[in-house]
Amino acid sequence: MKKVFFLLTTLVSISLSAQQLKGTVSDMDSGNGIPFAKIYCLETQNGATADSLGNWVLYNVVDNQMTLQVTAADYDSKIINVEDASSSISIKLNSAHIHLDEVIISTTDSKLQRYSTFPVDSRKIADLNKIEKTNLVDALTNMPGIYNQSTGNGIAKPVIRGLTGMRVLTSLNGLRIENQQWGADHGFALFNLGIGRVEVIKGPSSLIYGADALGGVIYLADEPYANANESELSFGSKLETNSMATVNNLSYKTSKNNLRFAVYGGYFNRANYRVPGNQFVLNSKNSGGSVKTAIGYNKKNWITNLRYQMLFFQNGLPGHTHDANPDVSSFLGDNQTRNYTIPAQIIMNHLAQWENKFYFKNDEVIAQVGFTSNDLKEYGESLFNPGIDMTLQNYSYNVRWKHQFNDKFELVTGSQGMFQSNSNSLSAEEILVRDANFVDLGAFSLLKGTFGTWNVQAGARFDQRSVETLDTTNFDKSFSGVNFSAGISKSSENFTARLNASSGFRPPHISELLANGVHHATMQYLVGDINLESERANQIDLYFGTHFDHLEIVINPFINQINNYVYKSPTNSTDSTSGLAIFDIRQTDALLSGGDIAVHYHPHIAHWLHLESNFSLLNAEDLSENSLPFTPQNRLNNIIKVDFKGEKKLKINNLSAQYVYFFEQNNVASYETSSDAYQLINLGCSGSYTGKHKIDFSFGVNNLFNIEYIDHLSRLKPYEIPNPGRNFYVKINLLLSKKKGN
Amino acid sequence: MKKVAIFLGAVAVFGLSACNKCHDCHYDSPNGEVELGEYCGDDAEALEASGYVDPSDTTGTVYTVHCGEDH
Repeated sequence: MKKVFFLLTTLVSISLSAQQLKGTVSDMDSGNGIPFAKIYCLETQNGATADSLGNWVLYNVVDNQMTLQVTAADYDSKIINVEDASSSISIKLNSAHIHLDEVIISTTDSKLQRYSTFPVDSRKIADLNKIEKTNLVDALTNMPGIYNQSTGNGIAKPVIRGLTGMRVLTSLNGLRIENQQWGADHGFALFNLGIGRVEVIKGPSSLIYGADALGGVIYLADEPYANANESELSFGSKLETNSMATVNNLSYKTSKNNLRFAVYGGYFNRANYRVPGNQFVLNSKNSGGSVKTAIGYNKKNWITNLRYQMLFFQNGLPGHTHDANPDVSSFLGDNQTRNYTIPAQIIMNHLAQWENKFYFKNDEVIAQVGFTSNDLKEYGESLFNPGIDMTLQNYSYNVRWKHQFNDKFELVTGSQGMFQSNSNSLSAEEILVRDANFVDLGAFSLLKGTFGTWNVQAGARFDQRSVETLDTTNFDKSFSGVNFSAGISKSSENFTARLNASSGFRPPHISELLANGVHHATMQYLVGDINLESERANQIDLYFGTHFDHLEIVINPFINQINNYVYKSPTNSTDSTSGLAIFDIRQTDALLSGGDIAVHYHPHIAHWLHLESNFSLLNAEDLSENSLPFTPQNRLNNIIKVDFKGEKKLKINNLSAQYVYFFEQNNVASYETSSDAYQLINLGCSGSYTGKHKIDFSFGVNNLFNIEYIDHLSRLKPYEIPNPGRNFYVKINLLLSKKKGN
Repeated sequence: MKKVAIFLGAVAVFGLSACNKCHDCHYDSPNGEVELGEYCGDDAEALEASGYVDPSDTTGTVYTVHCGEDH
């Protein structure tokens, strides 16, 4: 038996070792090899690092099609399509001092950002955390046009160009995440564990993502697997002083021939956060944990990935008091506690996905099936009986076929669907969203063309959603939508221009159709409308970018008209039982307009210095010119970054200083108050130590001058509870072991 | 690897030991909030379910008890 096993292992090793792709990466001008350039295969999600002469070997090869992303410090990134894996590949890179370009996969493109015809922005999570942010959504706000609707520092919801909740779709590696996101206090379903990159599609994206992608898409992509035939074990830890937070994670990644495996575990715990004046916001504590694993395998032209993640959150809900005449002091305390108290949310999420990809000479087929489960318990007045206890389960599929007609045209056709069920526990005191089933079905076609420096695309899609309640309300209705997207871009060495028009739709949620009760977390009594129609959005997005060696300027205006925009309207009456204000759910037509301007300057005389600045502007109003609620404050975000180079064991890699100015917000809804301008200064330093183990470290401070402010999107604003004060942080990442094979 | 296992074990013990099943309870009287002290497990659940009658209150009013709120 032992001999048979040995023979099989040898045969497999011989057959697998033949699957190699070799090449060199060199400087376009000098022809010299570029040391330690990184080669990453988009299909298999692992790669290789070049040696000191620029030579590289990729031990894991896919038949028919491979897309390689080649990156190196001080060089422009490149995407290479490999059709013949048998020959050696020579890749030449242009030197560049400015890198704002990342690869895009969320739009079916597999292109660098500058060549995409979609309004999409792609960033590495590590780049967004040059100055470490408290949570993942906070980090996303470093991107122009992205904001955080927060409830303290534990509950955060991403806002894209003024839209959030059910209007923003979250996708993890292509798996649609559902977590009762209609609730303003139902935060982001994920935290930063093993996530490598984020892509944000700004604006309606129903062509590819179907219903609900009306305001945009947050597409998160996992970190790459370990390089072929390598394994690594690492541990990371972060401490924050403001909420005495600890964030810890451990990961193990290994890759042997065609098999790849990764497992992650993470945990965080935050006590009540501190506000200027040395008081603490009562019940703002939060904690959570997650275990996540992924297995990938490929053979010939087939790649498969199986992923699973469990996430647990325990969020205190600040802004609760029994005081008869509450003021801000009712919500603040003198002691910083972290023990469990109510009101609180307890959330358990399970995410599972199985992905299969097949590559043929001119065709590519991707098939994904997924399952998500979100169990949400909210404890309001009772420690033992949940006020709300709902389980939302979602089964989804996603099939996509891409056909390359020739070197100019390709067609992408796909279909997505899901079966979703919401069920309430009998132990819950309230039923906020009724027991119901939802069925989505949709199909699209997208034609893309490339003509030299020109890229064009146009596509259309049809979707249908059926909603059926499972109780005595007997609600049963279908909503359908036809959507489109069309875009054209021209990208030369120094200039990119893009025009994109796209649409999106969102059927009304049953929390809007059938609401008739109290939501304690938002302290509102909501009355729905059974006759609501689907929201429909049409956006035009323009992009002009110049890319010179030392200067990049981007101007990105947009206009987005939303018909049947759903909003909450105060009735000026209160519910006699709860004493809470009654809000009706209504519809109107709305217009959102604005844009981003970004400048990145890199002086020729100081190549170690980067000056980055972006300005985000937004106006949101209905057709009667009444401002919409929760419109983000306009924002000016400036970052100065100094890079250091050195070969010493202990070295500082960069220093960053950030100045963010939020303009006052006077464009407010009738039941809102205006918000004052505020400014924050944040500092960060990162470095590394290379000894027996490699240690990456960073430290810094957010809100250096302990400014007292209340952001317009803070849900604690009505209680006059400030955002967090000064927050020092220290973070280390320890590479415990790294083994290289061949 | 052994060191990692020991470290993970220590983290687990530390995490589990932080779990506290006792909670401060109070009720809101017309004269303001009245602290009832710390109650644990079933005692806290029973007190929350039955409410609290102040022995010195001749009206016999049953007050709603709130346990586990932050102060």
